[in-house]
Amino acid sequence: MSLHESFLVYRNLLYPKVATAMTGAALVWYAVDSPRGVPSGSTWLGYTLGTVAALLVVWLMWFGVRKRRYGPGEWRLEAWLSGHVYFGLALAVIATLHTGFRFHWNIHTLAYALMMMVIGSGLFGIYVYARYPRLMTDNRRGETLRSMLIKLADIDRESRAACLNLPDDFAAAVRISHQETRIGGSLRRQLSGVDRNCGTTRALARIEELAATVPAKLDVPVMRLRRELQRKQALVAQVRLDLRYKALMEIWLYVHVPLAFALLAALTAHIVLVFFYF
Amino acid sequence: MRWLVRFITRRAGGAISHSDQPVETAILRFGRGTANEVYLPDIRVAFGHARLGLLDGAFVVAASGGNLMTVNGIPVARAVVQPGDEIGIGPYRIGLNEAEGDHDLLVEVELVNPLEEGSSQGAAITGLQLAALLPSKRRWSWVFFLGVIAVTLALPVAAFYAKNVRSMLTAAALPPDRMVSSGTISAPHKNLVGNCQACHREAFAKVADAACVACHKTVHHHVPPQQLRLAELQLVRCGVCHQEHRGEEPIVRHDQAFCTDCHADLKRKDKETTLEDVSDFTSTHPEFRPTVVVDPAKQLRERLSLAASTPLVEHSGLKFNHQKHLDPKGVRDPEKGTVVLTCTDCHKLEPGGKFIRPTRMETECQRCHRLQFDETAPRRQLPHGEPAEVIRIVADFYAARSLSRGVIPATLGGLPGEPLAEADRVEAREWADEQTKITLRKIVFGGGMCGTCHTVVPPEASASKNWEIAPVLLTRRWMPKAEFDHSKHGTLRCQECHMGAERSTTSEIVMMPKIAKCRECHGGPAATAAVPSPCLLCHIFHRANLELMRPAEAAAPKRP
Repeated sequence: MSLHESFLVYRNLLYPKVATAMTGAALVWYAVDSPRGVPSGSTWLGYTLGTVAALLVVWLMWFGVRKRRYGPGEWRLEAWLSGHVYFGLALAVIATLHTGFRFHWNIHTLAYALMMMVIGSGLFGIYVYARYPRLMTDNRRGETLRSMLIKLADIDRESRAACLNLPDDFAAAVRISHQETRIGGSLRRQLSGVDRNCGTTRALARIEELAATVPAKLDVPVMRLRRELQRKQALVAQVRLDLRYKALMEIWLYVHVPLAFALLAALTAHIVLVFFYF
Repeated sequence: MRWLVRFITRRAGGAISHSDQPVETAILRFGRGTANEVYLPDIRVAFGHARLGLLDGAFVVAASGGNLMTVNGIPVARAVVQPGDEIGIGPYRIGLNEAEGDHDLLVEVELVNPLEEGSSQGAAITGLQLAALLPSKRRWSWVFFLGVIAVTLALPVAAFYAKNVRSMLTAAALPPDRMVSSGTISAPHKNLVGNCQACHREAFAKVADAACVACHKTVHHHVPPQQLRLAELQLVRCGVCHQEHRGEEPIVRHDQAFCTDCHADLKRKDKETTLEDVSDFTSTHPEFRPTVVVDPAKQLRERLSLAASTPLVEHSGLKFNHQKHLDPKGVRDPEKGTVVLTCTDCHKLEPGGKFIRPTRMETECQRCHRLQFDETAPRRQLPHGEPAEVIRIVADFYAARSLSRGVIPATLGGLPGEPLAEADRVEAREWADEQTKITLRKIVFGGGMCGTCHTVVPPEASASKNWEIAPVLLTRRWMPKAEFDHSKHGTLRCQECHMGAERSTTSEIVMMPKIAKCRECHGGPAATAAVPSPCLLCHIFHRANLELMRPAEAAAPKRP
């Protein structure tokens, strides 16, 4: 039996059930409602859904506060996360019904658009949070990032030792592997998980070229050097993939959180202006 | 197998210390896991790295999985070894030596490559945290929050109160009004775009009726207030029914619910009402009740239901024989000989095409029904007017005749140009009076002229002791509460709705269609196989004959 209970199925799908019930009720009410005039945010149903949606937005953002309180709360953080995800999805439907499907180039639709961007980035977050931990574990194969980096240092030492008996060109190639193998770096490199200009790859290619030019008695050291560099290449790829997963699991929050505050501001403006121009 | 495992440590200064550990097992296992007989606690060694055992009289060492292992410097996965060989596992060197004492083999383990603290990682590792690369979430959150508040809330509110802010924003292509508008303005109000304060005069207040009445000065009531006072009608804001900012919809809404809220159960609103309940055209609209003249003299009209068992009759005071006029063989025409008449020869549309123009004798009938009264003057016609006027004209005619010789009896002599003697004058006048009386009785009133269509009252029976015509009251609008557009029904023939004309001899039958006729094509708004017809298709709410719903003085507009 696994001890891990994913936030998606927490407490036997309690939150999906509640959120679905809420969304279903809203959909049914919208379908049977026959307002005077067109459906919009200013019918009775519109005001109700708008109030519910606004309260949901505030509650969803409260997750950021709860997340930073490290004491035992009345509800576990995992419960908060599960609720945050599913009520966030319900919000997408409820807010859309609140609009009555009327969209224009105005501040009100801006609030809606910001909300959908927040929810959209949240969908990406759900995907990475659900899938990537397993992928990271599988990729690490029992290592930690620190242990992988230590092994890289070890391989470098071995490869330096391995080219002691070899011509200088080999040492030059190995130096390229040491000094021009970049891990981490720019946003693009971290998110893509590849380095098209990797020093180790270039060093290996150079070693292959040089291997053809050495006499047969140097075959064993060459083979040893090649093996070390191939080990390094595999390990570097493993480290980069680990960093890629980590970066993807973080990057979406740089969209999700600031836009949520933009949404909060736009929502405040929307509510004030609705009653300002009553 | 009895192995002696010796862990060797070299100290600075060349001293060597060792600790021995005898192990009795068939297979000697090397690895990072504590279950291994030779426990190698270094990260660079795999959990279960390699195994050493005796196989067919020779020592064999094998690396588990794909673990890297060297024997005498050569990378192998499996090899036969003997005392004197050196196995490399990670940073460890394992030397095999001849056994000492009871043991079968001496296994010397030495860590030759200890982990260095702070060693270079062998690769340029920079910025493993995204936080180092991206601006902080907190800063961006503040920037967005304050920015959005400033642009979407502070500026429009400022623009509402300060004209210069508004003009500055409009010049910067950020019209605050459009940013705030919750929907497009309706077509008739598009001249007000950008002038929100034409209607929204106060903050946090609904649009007051005064704003609407400022332009719409003559909006009439639906029910006379002295007849029925209802909160819904007295106090309701214009904006409740006429919802602006729904530009894709007309601002005059046709939702049936607006009407059926009251009309589906009128007794709740007015206990004394005589109106019947309506909720939908297809099912519950009552039978039509045209307004019919019942007494033309007293100008009495009544609404009579077409659901009555006998056909409705109207007493307009006129006699007209449709059957004769619609004879397929035609009727006599003084100029053309014979013409075949159709409905539209007499019943013409008003300009605009909605209603039928009232039939006028002068334009529709007089072509054939000439009002000539004396065969000696065939072109002389009487006006279709008041009887007193007609009598005077006939009298004047004969008076004039009497004064021109040639038509008076030969008893009156004299030459042309000679003035008449007194006796002649009296005789001439008596002749004229007699002729007038005869003509009036025989031809005009008593004969076929007026009496063809009118009910004539002879002098002996009339109140004024003169010829009189019984009052006529024609119906101009049979159903004045409904708007019917004949031009939209131009594909139908008249007789499809106004049935019975060919058989009618008296024109008393009311030839208005029953509701079933309309239901052949029209249905309620939800109808899918009929023309969707909400109440407002035929009826209007603001009735022009009633007083104003929101008089301008009562609305007390405030200057913005």
